[in-house]
Amino acid sequence: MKYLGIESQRPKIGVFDFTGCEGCQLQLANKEETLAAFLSCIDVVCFREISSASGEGFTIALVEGAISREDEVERIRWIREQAEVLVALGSCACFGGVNRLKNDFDLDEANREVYGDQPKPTLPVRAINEVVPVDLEIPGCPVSKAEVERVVQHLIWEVPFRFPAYPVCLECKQRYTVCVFEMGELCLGPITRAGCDAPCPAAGLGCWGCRGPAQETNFEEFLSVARERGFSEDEIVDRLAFFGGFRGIA
Amino acid sequence: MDRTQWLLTESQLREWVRSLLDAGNSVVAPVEEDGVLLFRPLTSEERAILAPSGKTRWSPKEFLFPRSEPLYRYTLDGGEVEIENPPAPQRPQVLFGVRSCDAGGLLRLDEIFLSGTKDPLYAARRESTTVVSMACAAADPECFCTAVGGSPVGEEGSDLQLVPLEEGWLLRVLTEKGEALFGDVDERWQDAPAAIAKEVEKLERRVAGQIERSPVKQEWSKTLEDGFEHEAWDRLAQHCLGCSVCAYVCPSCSCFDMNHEANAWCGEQCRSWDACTFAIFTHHASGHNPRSTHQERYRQRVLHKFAFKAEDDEPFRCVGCGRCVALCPAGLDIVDTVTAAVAAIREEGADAAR
Repeated sequence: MKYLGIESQRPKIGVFDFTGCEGCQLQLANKEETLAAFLSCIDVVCFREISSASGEGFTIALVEGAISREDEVERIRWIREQAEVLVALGSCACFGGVNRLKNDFDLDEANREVYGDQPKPTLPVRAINEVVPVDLEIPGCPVSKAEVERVVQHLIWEVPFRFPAYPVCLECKQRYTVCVFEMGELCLGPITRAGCDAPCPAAGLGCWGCRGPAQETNFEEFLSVARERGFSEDEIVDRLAFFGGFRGIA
Repeated sequence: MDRTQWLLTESQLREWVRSLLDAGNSVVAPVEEDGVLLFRPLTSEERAILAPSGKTRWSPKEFLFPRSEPLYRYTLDGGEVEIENPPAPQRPQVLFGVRSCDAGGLLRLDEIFLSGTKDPLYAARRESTTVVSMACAAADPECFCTAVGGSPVGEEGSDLQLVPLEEGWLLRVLTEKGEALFGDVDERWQDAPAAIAKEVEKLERRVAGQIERSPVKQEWSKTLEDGFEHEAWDRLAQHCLGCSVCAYVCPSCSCFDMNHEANAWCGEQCRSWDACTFAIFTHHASGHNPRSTHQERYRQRVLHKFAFKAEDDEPFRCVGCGRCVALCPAGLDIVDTVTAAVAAIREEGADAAR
């Protein structure tokens, strides 16, 4: 396959899952209109959801989920050693995701709550980049397949790629969605990185910030806007903490 | 050109819209979708909302300057490259029921895309577009056209104008393009008497009276520019979230970005709306950003509307539709900002003179 006259090789890609729902992997397998073209560009050596192959020798590792067990720490280190490029896929891999809410509780208590009298070995939840170096992060719950495709093209052919720097508000306006703030919903749209095409507000649900902060947000003013509209500190803090993307600024 | 004008009933007006559609025009008019008023190409005259007041959520600018459009596309086939230019407009377009403020907004776009080097895509669309504006019989709470030199019955930017009067819809021809639009006048149309002008004036006074905003004065432009470095901008910009919704809904904002979207087989150079309130808008390839702070960017947008001018008597680039006021998540009001900035700059000047 040639791009601008240069023959490219099909890179060997491995898709791996850690603590998470595997929904991001499912997204990759889901987008049928481009699946064939996507697969013709890559050589899948490991992808549990679509293939029984479990080969080694991948150059690109797409990693989904957060790290929450000792054996996962070892496995991600091994993947890091094998892969030339490690891409964190989805909010769990990038921020810790919903799993990270566990860290606000006593670990033993959380364990008992979930597993009763058969506790499992567990660690505080960490994002991939808190355990090993990550080359690229694609946030989102789930990730946008279109974005993953663009990133993979970028990796294979160096097709220019950059994440949108603007907030979700813009994509709502782009698709004529009535502001959910106007409808009395709390929404993180003004401070969250766009690129998802704002599906939640379009369905009447405020943004939960799964893609983390947009570039250069006016966070203080967002808080005062939310407070002025009558949302409590608890509601605001819970919303910001939900996917872990606003850790450090919230 | 002699002014030609008629008084139409609503059904005559709809019949006229029907005839515009039958003649092969793409008629873009306000329609209601999920409770929101939006400009859409009509498939039937019945869908058009012929309301004496109220404005669409978005301005009609996207029908001349689309949110996103390919400038060219290419396909790669071995060593061969095939380039495809975007198609020329297929049908003449009628922008129907555009409020006076929005019609004025189109002129502000012309200033950017047609003066000096003409933008060919914009120029082709503009050439094949006729604007039928609709005066307002009531102001929305956010409206402030009269504060920036406009009028609820303003004719600027219109080829034809509809005025909602008690007597019916007054249809006035304002340009040759407007005259060309309807060809043969329906003989059943009733000529409007010359005295109808008084009714239009009355309407203008009544609606202008509903707009409780004090005017932005022409001489403020210089004050604002002189106070470019004034520290008040830090305070004024503090509440802006930087989301740039204001620029998106603005009928006169014209900033755009160009992106190359491609894969291994094909690609396109794409032009999309952008906003000067975004950090990456002025981000140079070198990494340098001449407007690196939020304050500088907010100030840029306000001053580009009200201060930066080649001539003193040039109209403001804000037409007072008020959409940015109504839709700002932080409740910012551009007239309040300008007024406060001028007050702060003058106060400092007065202090210095003491």
